[in-house]
Amino acid sequence: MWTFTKSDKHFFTPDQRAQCEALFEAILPGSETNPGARDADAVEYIDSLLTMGHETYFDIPNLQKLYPAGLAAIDAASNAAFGAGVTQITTEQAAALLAQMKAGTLPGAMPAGDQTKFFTNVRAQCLEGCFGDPRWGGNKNGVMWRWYGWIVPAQPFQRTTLAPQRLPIKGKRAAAKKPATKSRRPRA
Amino acid sequence: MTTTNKIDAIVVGSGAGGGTAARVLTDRGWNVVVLEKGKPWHADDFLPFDELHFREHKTLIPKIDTDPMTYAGLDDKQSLPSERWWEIEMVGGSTMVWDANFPRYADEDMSITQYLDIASIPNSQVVDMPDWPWSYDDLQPWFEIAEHEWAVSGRAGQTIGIKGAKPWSQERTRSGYDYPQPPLIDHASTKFLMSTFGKAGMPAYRGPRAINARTYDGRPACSFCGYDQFFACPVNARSNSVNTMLSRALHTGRCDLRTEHCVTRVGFENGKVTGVYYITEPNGAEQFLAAPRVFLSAQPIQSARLMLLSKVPDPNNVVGHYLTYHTKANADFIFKKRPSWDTKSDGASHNNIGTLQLRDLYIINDKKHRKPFARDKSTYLTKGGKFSIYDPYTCIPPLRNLKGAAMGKEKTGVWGRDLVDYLSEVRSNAAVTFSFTGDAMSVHDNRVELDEKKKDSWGVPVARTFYHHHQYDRDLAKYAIDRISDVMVNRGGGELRKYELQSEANPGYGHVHGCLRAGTDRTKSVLDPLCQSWEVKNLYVLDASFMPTAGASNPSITMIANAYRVCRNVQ
Repeated sequence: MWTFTKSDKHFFTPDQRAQCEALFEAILPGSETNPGARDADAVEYIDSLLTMGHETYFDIPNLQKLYPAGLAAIDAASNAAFGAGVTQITTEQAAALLAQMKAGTLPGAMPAGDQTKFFTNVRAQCLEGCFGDPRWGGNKNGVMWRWYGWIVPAQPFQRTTLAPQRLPIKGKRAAAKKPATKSRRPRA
Repeated sequence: MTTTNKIDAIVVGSGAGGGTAARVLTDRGWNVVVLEKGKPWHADDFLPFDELHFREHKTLIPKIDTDPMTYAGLDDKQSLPSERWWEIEMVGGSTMVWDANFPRYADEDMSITQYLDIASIPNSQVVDMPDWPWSYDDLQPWFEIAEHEWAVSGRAGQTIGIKGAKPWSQERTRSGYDYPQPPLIDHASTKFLMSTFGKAGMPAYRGPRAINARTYDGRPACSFCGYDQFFACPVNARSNSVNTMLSRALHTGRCDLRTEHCVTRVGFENGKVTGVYYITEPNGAEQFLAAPRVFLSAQPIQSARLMLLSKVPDPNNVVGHYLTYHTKANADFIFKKRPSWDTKSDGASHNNIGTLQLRDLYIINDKKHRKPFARDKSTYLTKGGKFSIYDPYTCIPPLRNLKGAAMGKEKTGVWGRDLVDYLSEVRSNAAVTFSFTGDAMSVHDNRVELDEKKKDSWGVPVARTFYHHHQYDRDLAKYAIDRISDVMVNRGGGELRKYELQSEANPGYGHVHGCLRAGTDRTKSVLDPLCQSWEVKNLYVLDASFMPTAGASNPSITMIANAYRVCRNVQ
């Protein structure tokens, strides 16, 4: 068997974490009817993952270099284009910068190949932080699984009622009839 | 087995081919040593389910930075590290993470010359597509044993062919034969898909799977946990080499399974095998184990690499050549007027395993036979392939599905508003995804060499692959996807989402075969018809590298059936 307990360590500075959170929200923007990366706290996943090593995921040592460089590049480009850092602009503006990053055309010193690589990873790790098992730090309270319908039935999302909840562990009807007594799913 | 016993055979690799060899040879009373590079795993090691740990972080496959193979690129000059998705280094090999699709190769694969019109193929002078050295009928009894011992679920003799044709099955069986288990329960989309394709004259059918539909061979029925391909089955409902073959072999007391043994080369003298050299730690001292017979089954590219490392004589420049990957293509469709196939609300399992297969395009034009295939005179293509049909929502875990999600031909790798649109759609509307497996033209230049610049974590030069998909492959992928797209859009009311065709470059993804061809002409093949090296007696190869051409089905059962045939007949 394998076991995993997430540590409380973090990799980013508070500024970097806020920048990354803004980019993740541009990858999966939330709305009144769908949870976004911020609702899932997807940034917690990458902020924690980057404190781990090669044995957890072979690419972590590379990502430890790529993320600070990419975040600095996009923040500088944001300041140049919008007169504010990436945490102060709208999600649409952040998306515009990410589109340039993807194409390798973001103004600044970051090489085009690295820009595309950074975008690819931001998209990948945002999805991982949203749809991975909550034990890794993201997908807070299973919010994405509940809305998407993984393991449990898809449920409507209403931002006003988003409160910490445990993952329902059986279908709607079964849950209504009697409380679930056992499950092979790990609890969030 | 104690090490003082006389060793009758060494088997290199413990996956589908190696496990089968151990099972059959010990059954014959032989003492067998299996050398496996990886470690033993227990079913519990794959719990708890976790898509991040097991798939996204690539925990179960060799690490690309320390243990890659390399790809020479389209200019044939690169040495690009490439993922080894299907070379799982653990006891049981790739059978531990496979999808367990078990369709047989057919006449149309083994007697390929009858189904190809070489003259009509562009750049045909580079194509070399020989018949296999044996026929479908020769393999028939071995298919049956393999299907029973590997616990296949399905239904034999399902009709394919054009509407109104006499019932006829491509996976021909003797009268009265059937698989040991009935098909897995239908996916919620089965009725719709069978009806829609049936009306189009392309009948879909429930494909054979080495997954328990009910309790069988002491193992439980599938729990439909949702984690299938690229995950190991934690309840042993899916067959693998360990729970079918190695368990039987070890039970005889005549099988010695030695793990973390990396074979570095095969020893031979005077044209006859003497044993193998191996190491048990990175850059460790080579040790020698003597045996009168050696069976390689380390996955095609790795077995070719071993032949090259061993410097097995190659007077005709064929070792490592004619490497083939199946032609791959994918298409997804969404049905806006149909609710999601999700069945959770009735209390049933959320997830399912799609078992539907579509073989109508196995032969596109058949000029020599009067078989019930449709003919399409608008194309030069003759030999095609098959589709596996799944639901991206309930058959595939979310990260794998979403990372590859598309909203049309131009919008791939969706993010931002497109991603929200995709998610909103797929959680509420029915979706279907098609995975095409097509034949591939065998070309001499598509090959495996040793990469002199890169060594793996054991200190051994890695394999370097050269590969260009032939024009035929790429035309076939487009043709096949466009044909089913026509049915899904115009008859089924679907809208196209994903549309991925085979590109010319292939760094290493997909079913792999060839590179140590078996044949009747020793100037054009590496192995004789019993899969024994022409140059080194008693050196046999059992993985799919023996396949003279790619064929057009998932290769497992054909490769396994051949391993039974070889191991029952070797002297």
